[in-house]
Amino acid sequence: MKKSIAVASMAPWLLAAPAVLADIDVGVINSLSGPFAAFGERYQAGMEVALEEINEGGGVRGEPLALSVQDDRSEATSALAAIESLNRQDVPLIMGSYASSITGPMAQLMTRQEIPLIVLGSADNSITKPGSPWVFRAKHNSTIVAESYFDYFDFLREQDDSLETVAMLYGNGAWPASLAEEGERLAEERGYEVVGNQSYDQGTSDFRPILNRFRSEEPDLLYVVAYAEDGVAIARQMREVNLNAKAVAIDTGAALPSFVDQVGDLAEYVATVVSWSKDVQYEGVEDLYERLKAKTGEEPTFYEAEGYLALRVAADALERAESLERNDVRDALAETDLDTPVTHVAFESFDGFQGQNPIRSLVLQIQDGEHVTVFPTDLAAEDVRYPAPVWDER
Amino acid sequence: MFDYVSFLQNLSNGVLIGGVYALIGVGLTLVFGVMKIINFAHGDFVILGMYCAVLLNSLLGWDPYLSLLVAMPLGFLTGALLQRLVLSRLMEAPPESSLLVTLGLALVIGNILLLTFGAEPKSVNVSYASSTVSLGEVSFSMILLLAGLATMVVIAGLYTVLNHTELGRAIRATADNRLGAELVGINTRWIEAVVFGIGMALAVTAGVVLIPLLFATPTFSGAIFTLKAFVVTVLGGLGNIGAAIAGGLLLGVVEVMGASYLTSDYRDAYGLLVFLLILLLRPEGLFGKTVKRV
Amino acid sequence: MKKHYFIFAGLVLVGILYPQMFPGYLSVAITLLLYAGWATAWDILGGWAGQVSLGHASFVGLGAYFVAVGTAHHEIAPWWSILMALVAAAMLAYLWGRLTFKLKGPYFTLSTIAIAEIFRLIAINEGWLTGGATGVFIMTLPEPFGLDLFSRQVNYYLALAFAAITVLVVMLISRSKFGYQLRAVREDEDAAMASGINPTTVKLKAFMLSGALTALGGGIYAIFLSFIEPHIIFYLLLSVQIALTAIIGGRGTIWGPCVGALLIVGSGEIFRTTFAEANMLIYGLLIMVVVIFMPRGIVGEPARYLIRRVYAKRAQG
Repeated sequence: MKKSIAVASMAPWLLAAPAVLADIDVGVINSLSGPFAAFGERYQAGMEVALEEINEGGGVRGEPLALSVQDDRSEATSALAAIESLNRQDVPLIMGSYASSITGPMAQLMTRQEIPLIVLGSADNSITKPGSPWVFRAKHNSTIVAESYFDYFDFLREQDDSLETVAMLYGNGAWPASLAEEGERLAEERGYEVVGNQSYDQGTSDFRPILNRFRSEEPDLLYVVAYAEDGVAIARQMREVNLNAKAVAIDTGAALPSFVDQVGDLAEYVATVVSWSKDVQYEGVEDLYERLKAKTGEEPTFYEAEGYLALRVAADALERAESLERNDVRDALAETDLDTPVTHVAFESFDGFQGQNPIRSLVLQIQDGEHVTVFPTDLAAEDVRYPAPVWDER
Repeated sequence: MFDYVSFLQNLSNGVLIGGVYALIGVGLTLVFGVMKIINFAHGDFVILGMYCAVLLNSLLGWDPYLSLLVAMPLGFLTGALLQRLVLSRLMEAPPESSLLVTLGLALVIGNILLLTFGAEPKSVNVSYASSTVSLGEVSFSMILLLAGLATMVVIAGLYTVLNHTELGRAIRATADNRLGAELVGINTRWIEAVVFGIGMALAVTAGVVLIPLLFATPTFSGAIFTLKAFVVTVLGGLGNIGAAIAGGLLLGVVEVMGASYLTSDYRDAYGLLVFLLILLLRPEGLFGKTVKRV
Repeated sequence: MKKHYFIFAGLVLVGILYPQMFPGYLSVAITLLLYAGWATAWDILGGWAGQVSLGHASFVGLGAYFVAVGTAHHEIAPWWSILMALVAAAMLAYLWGRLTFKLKGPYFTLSTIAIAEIFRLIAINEGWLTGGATGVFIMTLPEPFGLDLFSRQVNYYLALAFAAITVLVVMLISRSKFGYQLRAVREDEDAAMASGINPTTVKLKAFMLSGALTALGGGIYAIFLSFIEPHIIFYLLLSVQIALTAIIGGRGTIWGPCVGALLIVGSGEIFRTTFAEANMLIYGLLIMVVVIFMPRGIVGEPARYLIRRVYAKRAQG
């Protein structure tokens, strides 16, 4: 928080900087205040770690790289004003933001103004489907995430073919809703019976009625998409109403360390999909983990990693581009083929998506209070623990 | 086949949650009854209570109920001061001014919390977070039970103060007829500060009691609680404490039952629809007498 | 009154020339104009008729969704969608007003919040109608007279026209019998009834006008963003911001809401780059200060002072 004030107050100086130091400025539009600030802070931290790494390695094209950060205040109109402001600074590209309600309008405007956009955190399908030649996303989208969950379920089904029924619970935000939509489609495609399908309004804290209804259906699998607060409440209330399932997946909320802190033992066996974890089998992961941890002072999550990833992609493209003209930067981005400790990055068009990195998302399971990568098996650190024992037997 | 167990479980959850809503609503209605101020920042006072509990828990490891010892007096003092320094200037102004000023206050409180604690949602994890108490086949959440208990104790305390102490009489007098109260020598300005302090203390208590269940976010949740408080007080009738309690219970039950037996997508809408119906058909609330202005 | 027309003409002229002078600052200007228009429209109900609504985001959303869904899902041209939205908004305002006007001040305000909330839930849950929680993208728009409706310049002129229309409407109201009726009802409803004015009819007309104009702005907003989601459109904070813009500027005045928009959007822009997290805090403090010390708003206070001086001079003879 204090860091972001520092960075935001650096902005006026960065305006002066190009003339004096010939820095290369990358535009960033991030949610530093408002309801999304919690996520914005994490992205900021990840970007700063990448920034240090890049500048220690000599910067980009021989010049130091700098971030020109603007706050979108968690609202679309501010983000659009910020684009104008960065445009006046002639930045070669812009990275941003967290929420699809902000990134969506940004993508539309930047496509028309022909400024390359590297999506920072928004994972909604609609941003890159159909997307545009100017929008690039290195992190996953709803389809990829939902497929990861169902690949995981299929993997479990190979070991136990009695797995048939799934109950779905999700918030009514854009992200949970899109994951739920994809989930429904995949459940049908892959032969799972959906025995419960319920959305709830963000801000709900009492899930007992819904969980009670699920319990009477006795689902084999639970597919939950919930943010931090709801996720904790759901986990606790599952125990309370004695809702058992052989495998439980909770997206978003369960990926944060605070989930384990708040919920304790109840978190065991819960699976969640992330774009990065600290024990995934990529090169350089441990080092990145250490640096992210040092920057934030606490356990890093995939949010910081995504911030790091976005800036690495930007720097790589700027390095390779013929010039800093936006068209050339865009072409360079389209040809990206980069290995990072977060994931491999290449932007492709497939299934109606454009400019999307077909990232391999990871399934983490909480084992002994830690998030452990368990799937896909070639990237896993440990084996899956299956099935989850009923509450009374834990 | 009617699932009696689930029904009883849902009903009891609704009642217990309703109890906490009642606690929030009572504070609001008390303030309105005495001072005719509509406090838009009431929900943010609840959030303040939550953060108090979070802070004491992370610094000293205190259980939320222990932090009540600190939170309640603190809430009372802050409320009284706020009233004396800021809100007393509004006594002559039209009622919408109090709405607007407290709206600004809500923004101020929310953002101070944001700057102090950061944007990450915070909660307190107590050891009994998911324990249940069983009565036959029906299980009650331990936290909800404790919350319900705390609510009853606090409201009983409030009732005693209002009806069996001098202070209580002074408050009731001021609420009924301000001019008359002043004529018999009651220092109404002081009473107003006290009442606002009590209202805030009640809100803070609700926050502390709720924190094991929920997360505190600095800017978002305040408005939700304020809206719930309004629904409760209007259901019962602004200015009528007993009715606010009934209103809270009603809201809790309607929400839970609606979510269980109709679709949960519109859970909040059930409370709102009932709220609107009451506003339209019986604006003085289910139990209220028409609010008079002095 | 002539003075007002001169100011209006002058501002419109500045407005028309602005994009030539500051072509790189259009998005901010569009936001400002939208808020100015919304606040002025809100004021017809909130200032002139005296009914504080904190649910006007419903009308913004109505306009925005008609245009977005009309274009994206049904291939209806935006001008027809906006027309439909205006009619729908007026009808909504009529029903809403009929039901709730008997509620006294604060109760009415509470009902507006509740209704806006219900709209939000409907927009989220009835995906077949609204695209649901994932929102609606506006990818293509027709090109009337060869104009690219997505271009910032065109958006700007649309917003300018919107703001100008609302101010013009308020200016006409202030000089008309309707304006006198509104003022009478606002000051003392019983006395107004005694002089033969039907307060409910007057308030309903104000509400319908207010709602329809707000929806007009909503449609332009949808084109401006090209992507809308229930959470940002039917958003309590938006309703609150619109109301506060008008109140801080000065309710019941012609220029008050515009001044409010200038202050709030303008300072928001400045603060965005320097005091990022504190700007909402300052906003809240500002509201408290203005309402306590300047209840008639920034335009209203000096206006009242000037009027009193005029009367005082006259009384001195």
